[in-house]
Amino acid sequence: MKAGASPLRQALVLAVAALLGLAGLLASATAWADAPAGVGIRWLVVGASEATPGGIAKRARALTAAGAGDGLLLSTADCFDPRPVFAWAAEVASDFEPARAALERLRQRVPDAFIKRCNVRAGSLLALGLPAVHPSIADVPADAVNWSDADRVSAVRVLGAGLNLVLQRYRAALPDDPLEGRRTRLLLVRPGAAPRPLVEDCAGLASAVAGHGWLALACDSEQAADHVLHTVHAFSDSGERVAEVARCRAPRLSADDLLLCQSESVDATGKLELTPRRSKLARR
Amino acid sequence: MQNLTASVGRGGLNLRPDVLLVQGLLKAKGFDPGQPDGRCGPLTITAIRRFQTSFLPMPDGLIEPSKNSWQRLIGAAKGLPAPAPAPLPKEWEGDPARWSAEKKMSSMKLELAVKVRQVLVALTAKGFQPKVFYGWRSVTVQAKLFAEGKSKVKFSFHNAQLPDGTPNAHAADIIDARYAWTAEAESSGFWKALGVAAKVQGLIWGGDWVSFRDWAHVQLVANSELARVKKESGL
Repeated sequence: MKAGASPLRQALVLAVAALLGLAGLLASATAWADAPAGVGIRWLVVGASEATPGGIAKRARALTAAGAGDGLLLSTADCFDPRPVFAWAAEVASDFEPARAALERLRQRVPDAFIKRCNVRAGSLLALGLPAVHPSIADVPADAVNWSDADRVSAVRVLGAGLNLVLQRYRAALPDDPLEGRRTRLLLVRPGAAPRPLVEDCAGLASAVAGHGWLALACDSEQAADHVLHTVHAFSDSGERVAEVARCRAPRLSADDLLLCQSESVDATGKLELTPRRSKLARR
Repeated sequence: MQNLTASVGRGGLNLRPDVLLVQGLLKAKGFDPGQPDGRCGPLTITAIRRFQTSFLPMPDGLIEPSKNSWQRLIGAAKGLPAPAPAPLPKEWEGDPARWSAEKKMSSMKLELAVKVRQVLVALTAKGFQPKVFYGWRSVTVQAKLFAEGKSKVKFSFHNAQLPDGTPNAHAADIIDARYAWTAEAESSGFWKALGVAAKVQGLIWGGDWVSFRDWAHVQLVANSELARVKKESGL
């Protein structure tokens, strides 16, 4: 809603929004019985929605600046929406009443805010309480050359044994960065524990494996002729950093606490040579 | 014409209404994506690639709002012919890593070539055996590298050209012919010497990039100039 709209227009928009909100609730209610499996129902107090991650990040930035709070940037794909969009939610409530109270507050600043019922997809970013779009995405310049939509949206990768790896895609505010600030922060999420940052500055996740009490992540780290080389970061499954192997790819973990990867080297003709490398892992 | 709200295709967001729209446009022009169902599967991506082959040297299977492929798809839907890309002059075809040293030098912007020669002289004087691995490479080669995961960027300073397609590289990759990108390049002090020699010439050195090193890379202008250089290249 634009500031400065006439009272008549505001009233009209409010009425339409209320009708739309009611229609949405009714549609949700009719689908209730057939709802797919999720972690539970949440009530999203939505202040804005957009089709693109860049668009919602900019709307969220404006809402926050207008005093609407930080909110959460989410994808309604995490609510099993067949036609998902990105949304900014001021609140994500477990019960309807607190959501309604939050809606009352939000409508003082965003008159067309509404409540959306969400059957939260298990294992999704929303289930983990993490944003699908990082706020820094709002700062990606309009003329950025090497950014795509996929670079703007965070993701979750299931590692097994209850471990989830969150790929939090964000923009680093470095004006002369060779990747125009494109970054991925890697977070470990274990059941019942707060997300634990593993790698702050991954230029791209090439592979991730977990097993035998260990976790290994290969990040893009160097360019050599026509090849991207990698750094393998190894952790205990609680997220304690135990090793880092430069110029290695395709990590594997063995039962005898070995990290196996392919050591990378590029010759003067540009040919990539891979040789097996083994590193013993030990808890610190 | 309905607008595309987000990207469709390989690596795209693939929102169902957008996918349906693209599938309909592709089908109308004879690039069959299968039964339009709003899902971006292999048939849809193949149809996008087939459509793009009419104007892109290296189809990426992705349609993005307001970008070239979308504009062409709308144009094609209106019955407009898709113009062919300017052909690459014959002398610049082939694997640019295999070109002669002089050809690599001549593919660079003159200001860069002068500085690179000075860097080579300085490194030779220190006992190294420097050689240019890459000067210019085409956006076609770059797109292929990106699609195969062998580069992190779709456009780089190596791809700079004049609007008529003549190479005008703003970057070069320099290695020691003995060490290339092996561990010896570091232990022999070659990378460090390259960085020093490049900075003496006022060049930017990729070995300084902490988050993603490009040890062999030197370039003429700052990374913040990438959009300008791409625009001036007519790309």
